[in-house]
Amino acid sequence: MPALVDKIRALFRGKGQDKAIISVHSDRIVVVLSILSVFLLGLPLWWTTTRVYRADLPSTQIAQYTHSDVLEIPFNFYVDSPRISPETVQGLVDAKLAKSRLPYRSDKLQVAFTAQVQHGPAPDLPGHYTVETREEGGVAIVGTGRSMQIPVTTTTDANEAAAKWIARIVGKEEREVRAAEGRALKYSPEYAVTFTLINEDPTGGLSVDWKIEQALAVYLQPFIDTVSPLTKLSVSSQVLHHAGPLPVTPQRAANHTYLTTDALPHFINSAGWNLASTDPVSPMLNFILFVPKRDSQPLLILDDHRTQSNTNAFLIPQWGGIAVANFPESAHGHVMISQADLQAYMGIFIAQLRQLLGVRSDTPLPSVKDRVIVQRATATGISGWEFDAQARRWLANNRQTAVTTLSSLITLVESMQNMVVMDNIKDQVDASLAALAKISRARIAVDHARACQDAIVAATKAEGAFFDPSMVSMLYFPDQHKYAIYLPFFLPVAIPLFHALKRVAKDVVAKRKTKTE
Amino acid sequence: MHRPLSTSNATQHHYHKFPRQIGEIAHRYNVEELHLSFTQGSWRSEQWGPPTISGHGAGAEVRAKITEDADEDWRGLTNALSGVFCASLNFIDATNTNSPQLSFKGMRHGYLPKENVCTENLTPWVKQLPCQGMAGLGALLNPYRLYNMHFHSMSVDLAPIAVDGKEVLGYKQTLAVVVNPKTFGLEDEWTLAQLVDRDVKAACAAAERSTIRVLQGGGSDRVVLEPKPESEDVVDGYRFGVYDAKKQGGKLENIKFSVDTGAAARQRAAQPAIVAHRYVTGHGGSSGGVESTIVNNSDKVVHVSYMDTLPWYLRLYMHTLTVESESLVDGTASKLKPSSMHYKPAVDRGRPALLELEMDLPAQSRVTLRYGFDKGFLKYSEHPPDANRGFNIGPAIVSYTPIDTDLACAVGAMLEGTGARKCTARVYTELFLASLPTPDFSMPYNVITFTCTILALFFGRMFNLLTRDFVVLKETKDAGQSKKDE
Repeated sequence: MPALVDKIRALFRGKGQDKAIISVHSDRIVVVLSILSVFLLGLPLWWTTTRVYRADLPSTQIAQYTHSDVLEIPFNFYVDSPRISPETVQGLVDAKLAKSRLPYRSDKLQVAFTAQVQHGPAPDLPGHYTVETREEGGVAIVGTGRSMQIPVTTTTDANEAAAKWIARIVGKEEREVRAAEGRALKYSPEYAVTFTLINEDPTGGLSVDWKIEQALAVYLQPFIDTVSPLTKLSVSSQVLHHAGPLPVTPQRAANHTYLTTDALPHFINSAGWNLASTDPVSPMLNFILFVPKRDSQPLLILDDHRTQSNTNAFLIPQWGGIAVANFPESAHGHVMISQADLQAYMGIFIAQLRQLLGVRSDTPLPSVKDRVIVQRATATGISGWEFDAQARRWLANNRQTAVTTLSSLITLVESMQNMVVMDNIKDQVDASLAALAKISRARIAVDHARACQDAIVAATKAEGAFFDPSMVSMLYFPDQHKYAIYLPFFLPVAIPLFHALKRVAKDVVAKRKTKTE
Repeated sequence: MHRPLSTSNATQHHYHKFPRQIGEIAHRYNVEELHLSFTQGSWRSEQWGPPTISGHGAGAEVRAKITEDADEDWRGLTNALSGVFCASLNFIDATNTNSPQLSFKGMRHGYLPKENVCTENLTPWVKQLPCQGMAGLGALLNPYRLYNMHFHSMSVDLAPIAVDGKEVLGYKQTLAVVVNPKTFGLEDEWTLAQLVDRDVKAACAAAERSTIRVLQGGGSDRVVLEPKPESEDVVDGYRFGVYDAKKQGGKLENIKFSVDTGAAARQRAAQPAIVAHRYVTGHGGSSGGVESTIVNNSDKVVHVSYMDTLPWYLRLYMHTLTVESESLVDGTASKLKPSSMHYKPAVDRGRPALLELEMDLPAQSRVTLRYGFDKGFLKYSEHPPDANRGFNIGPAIVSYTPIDTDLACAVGAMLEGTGARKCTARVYTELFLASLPTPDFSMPYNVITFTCTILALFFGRMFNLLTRDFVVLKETKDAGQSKKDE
């Protein structure tokens, strides 16, 4: 017992007392280093288990397509007149186009429309045009196919005249493509086109139905078939038997009611009219044939000058078109709008549909009295020139979309290191790049519509990758969480470890000193 | 309302009276047959008598026959319907979908017992009507009234029908409500307009037929109508007084209903042929059981099929299944052997368990089915936000072909104008709440810090043992002495 008491006493004894020290850990350095190496060996394991999967995206390939490279789209003109030399015209056209080309701006499309002039008959493909000369009269005639006749009198220089017309056509379209306008919808491979017959109020008045099936088959189907290589229009129709109160009340005049232009944007009751699409992807285009209630008929649409618009219809940009159908007072009860009656409205709707898709009616040139006659494609609703212009515009737009989307994707993926990048993203990016690579000047020259399809694939795949649901669900650990989870363990462990390391270092230094002494 | 789907071809679809949204969905997802219903409350047949609609259970139910039975189409269908009807139908996935073999042959069946039905579901439902809420039936639906009622069930049905010898999709919208006029301060005499609290407007102009029918006879004799119905329609032995809304228009709002509250009114309502209830038994967090009773009130043997779907976290044990029949007349009990059985066990986090039985219920009997289950443990993240409330379990469904007349079948036949025909009656049981063991949701972080602290303490101790120098203090007088000596 007294020995123990002595021991305890010795424990509390002050400094300067001599202690007999037995170090059991003369090889402490081995212990410390082995524990440290366990942690170091664990590091790769920790890294692999917390790492997120990131497929290797071809960023260098994407970087090749910069925003500033200009896409060249060549038109092919075929002249077959002994008075015209293709080489001379080519030179003249190139000079004219180079002179008229505006400087490029970074926020606009980077495209250059050029012309290739050659001899011989034109193949029946988009982008190939026949240019003929006319001796009589001073009028240029643009055909509905891919042809035009230019006036060349015996006195004028035929080469100069041909070059002038070609440069006008090409230059005009390039300017239009580069300055985008806002009425048309963004390109989509498919649009859901819905025709709705709206009866404002059937009580005590008309109850209408329509022969839409036949009317669409006759008047719209040719248009749908013609544009089908570029975009699919899926059509449906419905009848709304009771529209209920309108958001804007038509104003009353002596024997009619009217709507002024400022009321038109509020005309649509989108919540009440059951116009919502059930299609998860395709944008919707609405065309409404509106039958006003009996006592507001006839309902007229007035334009800015408060004169009656001759179609009695109006267009809502990016949304659709509305036509108002007034009936004679003799009409009563159940009224079936026949196919013949629908013809006029279908004409309006096709014109509106063209505008919404971005088809310009002054393609390739505006009609000028006694100077230019542009023949209208009444059978199909879209002429060869218009179709080609559309293919070129969508080609340029889609290629641009693909390039910008891919580069945004790379920027996004590189800036978010915790983002999961699945293999299917890489597959889509590769597919998009493959399609982009196909779009070359030579291939465009052969067929504009084919090149446009490639661009569509490129854009669709790029957007598919960018908007893939797996890109949204990020498996990531915020830094705060990491600290909260690691700290309670690693901090208490690290302190004695580093303390021991320090001592080991001290020991080593001390040992060296003793050795040298 | 039956409306044949209008002409359609591969690329174009035209709808005249058929609702476009439903038509587009049916076409896109290759739907051959569809039933969608939203129900609040359950039909209390003891008080209200036989249901006027073939039973609907509380919550939302979707069943559909899809060409080639593709998973993708089913998912697309439920998502699209969810968008149109503003409901959480998108939560119908593999874990609550099954393909019954006996009750709904060839169809997929999904059930959301927790779905609350409200105005946001009614508005899109009304929009599918040709006149929407502007005229006709839709104009009578006042949500303030509808959602104060005892029972409310609305449904949408698509089924193939023959029109002019061609098979097309027929479309039907049904709304069934049970209302106690006293809730709205109406005493024993009220008019239709007072009941719905809306002006009764003209019939929808697009409607070929628009009628109001009042069931006569049976327990309804105590209701006196003023003016008397214009005509009478007899279907399957049930008499209906008919008012033609198409001809009468707004005048119908003055139909006066006078209720006789005398002794006759207090007599119990006639009981439907088959009544079913289901209860959950047992206590504690580890196991429980289900007890279903099916009562056959009729004097004949009724062949029924019973279907119950339980989610995977209630692990069913089929060896515990007992079926017992008890006579309502003399109380004698005996074992009952089901004529056929179809059981599909659950897959964890994959699919629900499906139990289907076919059996012949003896006349005037009560059949009791019992089966037990263990409660599974759910992962921390699988619990809903209100985990301690428990999980709603969808109803069991009893289907049978009525031997005698059936009110729901008669009403269905009357609405379609087809006359009496064979139909399937369904009885849905109540839902039940399964309470599963719930974790303490603040646990994960506590566990992390707690474990880390213990491990850190352990590590520190071991590490010190291995690396520290331990000093044996030796108190020696000599040492002290010698120091002094120096």
